[in-house]
Amino acid sequence: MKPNARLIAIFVVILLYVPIVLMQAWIDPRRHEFEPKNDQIGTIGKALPIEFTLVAAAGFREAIAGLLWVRTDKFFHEGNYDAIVPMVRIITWLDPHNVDVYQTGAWHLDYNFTDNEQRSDRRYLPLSVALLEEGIQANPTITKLYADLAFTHYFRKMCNYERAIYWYRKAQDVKETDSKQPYSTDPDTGKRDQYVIDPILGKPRPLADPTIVGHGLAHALQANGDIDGAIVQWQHCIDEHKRLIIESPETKYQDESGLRVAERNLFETIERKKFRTVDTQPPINLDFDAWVVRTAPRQFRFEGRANFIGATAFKLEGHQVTWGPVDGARIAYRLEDDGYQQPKELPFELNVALPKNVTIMQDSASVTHGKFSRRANLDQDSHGDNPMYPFKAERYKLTFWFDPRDPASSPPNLGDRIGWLGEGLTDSKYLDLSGKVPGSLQGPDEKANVRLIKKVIYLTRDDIMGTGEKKFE
Amino acid sequence: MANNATQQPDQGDAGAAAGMTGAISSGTNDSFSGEYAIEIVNLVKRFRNLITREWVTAVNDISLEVKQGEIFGFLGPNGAGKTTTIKALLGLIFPDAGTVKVLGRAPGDNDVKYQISYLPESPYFYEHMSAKEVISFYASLFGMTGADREKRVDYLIDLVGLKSAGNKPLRAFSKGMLQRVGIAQSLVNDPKVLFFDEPTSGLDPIAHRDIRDLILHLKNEGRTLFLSSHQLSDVEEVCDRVSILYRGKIRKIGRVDDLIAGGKVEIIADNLKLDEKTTAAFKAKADEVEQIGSRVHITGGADNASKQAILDIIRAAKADIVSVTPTRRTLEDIFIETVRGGEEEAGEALHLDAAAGS
Amino acid sequence: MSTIWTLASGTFGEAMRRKILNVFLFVAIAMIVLFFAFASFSPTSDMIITMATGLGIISMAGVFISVILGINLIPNEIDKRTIYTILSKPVKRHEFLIGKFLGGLATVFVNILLMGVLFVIGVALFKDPHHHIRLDILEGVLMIFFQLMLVNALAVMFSVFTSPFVNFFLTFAVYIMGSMSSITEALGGESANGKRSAVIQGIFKAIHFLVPNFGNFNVQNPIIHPDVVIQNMAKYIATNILYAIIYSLIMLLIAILVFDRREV
Ligand SMILES: Nc1ncnc2c1ncn2[C@@H]1O[C@H](COP(=O)(O)OP(=O)(O)O)[C@@H](O)[C@H]1O
Ligand SMILES: [Mg+2]
Repeated sequence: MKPNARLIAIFVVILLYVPIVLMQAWIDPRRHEFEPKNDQIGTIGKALPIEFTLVAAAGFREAIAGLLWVRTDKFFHEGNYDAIVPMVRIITWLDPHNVDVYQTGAWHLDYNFTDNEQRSDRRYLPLSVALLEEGIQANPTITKLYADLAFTHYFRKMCNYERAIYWYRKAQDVKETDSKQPYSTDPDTGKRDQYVIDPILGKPRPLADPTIVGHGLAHALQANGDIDGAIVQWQHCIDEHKRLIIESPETKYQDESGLRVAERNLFETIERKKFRTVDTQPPINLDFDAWVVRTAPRQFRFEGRANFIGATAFKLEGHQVTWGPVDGARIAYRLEDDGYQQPKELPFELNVALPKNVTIMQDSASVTHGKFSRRANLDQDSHGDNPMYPFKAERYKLTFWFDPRDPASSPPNLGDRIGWLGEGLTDSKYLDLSGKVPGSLQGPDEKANVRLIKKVIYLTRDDIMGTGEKKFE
Repeated sequence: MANNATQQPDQGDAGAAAGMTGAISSGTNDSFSGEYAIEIVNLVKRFRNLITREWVTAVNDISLEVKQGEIFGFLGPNGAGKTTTIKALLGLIFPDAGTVKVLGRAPGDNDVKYQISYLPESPYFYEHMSAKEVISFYASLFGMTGADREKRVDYLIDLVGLKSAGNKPLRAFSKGMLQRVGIAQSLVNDPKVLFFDEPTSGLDPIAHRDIRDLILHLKNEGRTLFLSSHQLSDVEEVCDRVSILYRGKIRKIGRVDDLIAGGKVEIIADNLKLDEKTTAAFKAKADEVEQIGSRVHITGGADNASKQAILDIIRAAKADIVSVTPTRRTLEDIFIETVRGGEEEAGEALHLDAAAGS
Repeated sequence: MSTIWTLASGTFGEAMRRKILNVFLFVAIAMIVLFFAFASFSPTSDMIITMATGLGIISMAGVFISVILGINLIPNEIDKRTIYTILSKPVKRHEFLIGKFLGGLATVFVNILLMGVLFVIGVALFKDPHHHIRLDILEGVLMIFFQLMLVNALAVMFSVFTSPFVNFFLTFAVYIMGSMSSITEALGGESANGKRSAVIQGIFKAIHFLVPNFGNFNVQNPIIHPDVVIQNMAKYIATNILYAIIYSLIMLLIAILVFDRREV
């Protein structure tokens, strides 16, 4: 090679590094769609055994995540709940697109961990929300995740219908084309391609399933007292089902059954709207009261009375429908350290800083013949290294309440008497118009106009630990 | 020296080069008409031993020219610097000082490469290929294609006597067969100048002879051959000229006959009494005197004066002259001489085993 | 051009007969094990693990093939002295280098493709309940190939001035460093607590931008999770291919510059 040619070659080498650097700068933000975020890497390295980290780094990231997930499932079946949170954390870091992990992980956190039979540990709820929100951020086109998050707000002991509606609507916004087209935010422009036209059908195609998302939104609107909104939504669902029956014959069966449900619900909602405005007046006085009986140290009976007389019958299109027994209302109660603030947000980290030594117990009792009573043995989970009910505080706050919006607390027959938001109920002592639902993650819901029933009792540590039967009210 | 292009080539060598290339050549591409096919001027090459970190001067300031059509024997014991010199001529390594030229151009010049070829010491080829495929591969490097290439390959395989083994993979080849493949590849381009590095070393006597015949064949075709070897006997029959390299320096250079002729005679005398007078006389004129049985063997210079002087002494002693034989000098003799006569290495021990080589 | 072609096909033929095929055999066995090992999981988990492990095995086997091949391409010719006969023919040194590189690359390509096709067929036969031919797997294999092209170029570049033994560790070290794109990016960026000095930050930034970023090429995630939509996937792939080609060109140019002055 001549000296001149050498010089040129050296110059070209230096010059070629310019596009390399430019391309790398372009690639970097996009690469994170495939892999963990920068700040997570170090933590993964610390959390995983070195051989796992190495294997993961060698191109087996998703495989390691998949195997850990299988292992996590075993932990769940073994009842080893404490191991699940860090596992889910590591797995979703390793593979942010394994949607199953977000869904099932959140389900463990907000349902299985807080199940009445197993644990009444509400402290995991913000984690569940955080996990699903992260999942949505990583997988913005996966509407299942939106629907799950909405359902968590709607049903799973959160009763935050505003948020439920918010996430259902977000899911409805998600559109896609048949090809893998941009959906998330473009890092360059910050713009979102909201409505990409379906190249085959020529119109936006919903990624959101009209049953899972559409029906869910209608229910949430109804629970939030927006009956007109719910009616519009049911109608929308019906239209969607009909459209999809024609356009997607392969899922025809699914949409046909969805259509039947939507049509019945639309009809019933319209009917109920008519007569609930009439039949719920004048409000019934519940004459609510509640108390707790300590039967032994850390063992209680949560009791009370409420004059929940549901509607026994109502007319649908001329023919009479008779409801079953009036029972079915549920009174929720929550025992927690006095002054404890439920954290509104809890970042989903490897070592979740769950408030230690805090006692929170939440459950509900069904009202039968105007009375409710339910036993709770908080002794069994109060010992050991990491007890669920440590009872370390001096003072405790016990709240009994009834939320007419909650589908689990207020079945339709009751709703037909007391109304969507409790318009048909009142109580001389315990009516509460603050909109504050105990344990809510989002704080008071002032716009809701909900008529809650609420009673608070304060207990000391001695009251909890004392022997002999004693009633507190 | 470099621009001899206008001069007429030396008559004797040019005669050999003219018109006798028929057998192998398919038409030599003549573009160079200079006198010297190879020129080396004050070539120096040093290497650094990677382990001891010491510098070794492999070639220490050598100069020589090889005329077109000449067969040049580049002799020297192992480690003398032969391969190093050849590599420098081919542009595989770069001189530390001095210049080398092949066909008037700097080594590594692509145009020159069309007209030269190289047979390395104990060559290796892609083992997965058959002899034919290898030759075909090298032919492709010269841009040959199709039927031309096939014809050439078949011809060369036949020429080096591999016809029956031409389709076997080289993995199964003996050293001698590989050497034949090596020669065939070196003839692919009908080269004007050939560099053969130790072409016969390590071969069995039959392969040895065949390859010598091949070289003679090439010689008859008027090609320029630069032949390295550590054994004089390999090259003396074929070479026009030889040089002797030792420790990076050319110690002797000249025609083979002259080198050998510069040797000794052994004179055997009978009925010679080695008395004091005769012994003293021999001491002055002869190199060695030895009584073997009844005869006396006297070794002396091969020049006429020394020979006559010794014969005079024998005649004066009235003894019978049994025989006068010029002793064939071995390369070893010449090495010994060269080293003994060498100024630089005076006092250094000579390792004969280096000369005997493998 | 024909010279380069001759050299490349010679190299390919030689390489395909080497022990590298043992790696291929190992991969085939590993895949067969893979197809039957995880049958006890849930179908989703099963598919995810199969896909991820299969692509991981192909990628890792590919890296091994590329490194072993790349580090030996040139030194083998020198050791076996075949380079002498080649370079004394009308072959320019850069032609030799490019020919060797392309021959090695073709070997890698064929091996990777065979593994990829084997995997696609295996998935269709044993894993996918509908026996779909998942051609998107080959998209991932394509990216693995371009990553390996860069590995190969890197190994060839080092091979012109280091021994294969040193080169093995050198290439692997750079491969590992380049695979940790996220870490070098993070360390080269602003630190959360401001503890990292500007010098360290600069060093990592330089590493991140100048060392070949093998981490860029891992696009198996959307193949493992077909529901996931990655924006501008085609553009991302195209950019990475361009990146691999340009970076390989840089490596080859450096190799040519060094090799041109190298004694053989
Ligand atoms: N690449 C090299 N590195 C170090 N030393 C070398 C190298 N090549 C040759 N030498 C040394 O140079 C000297 C001459 O070697 P060489 O030319 O191969 O001798 P010959 O071919 O005459 O046997 C020897 O001492 C040898 O060890
Ligand atoms: Mg030698």
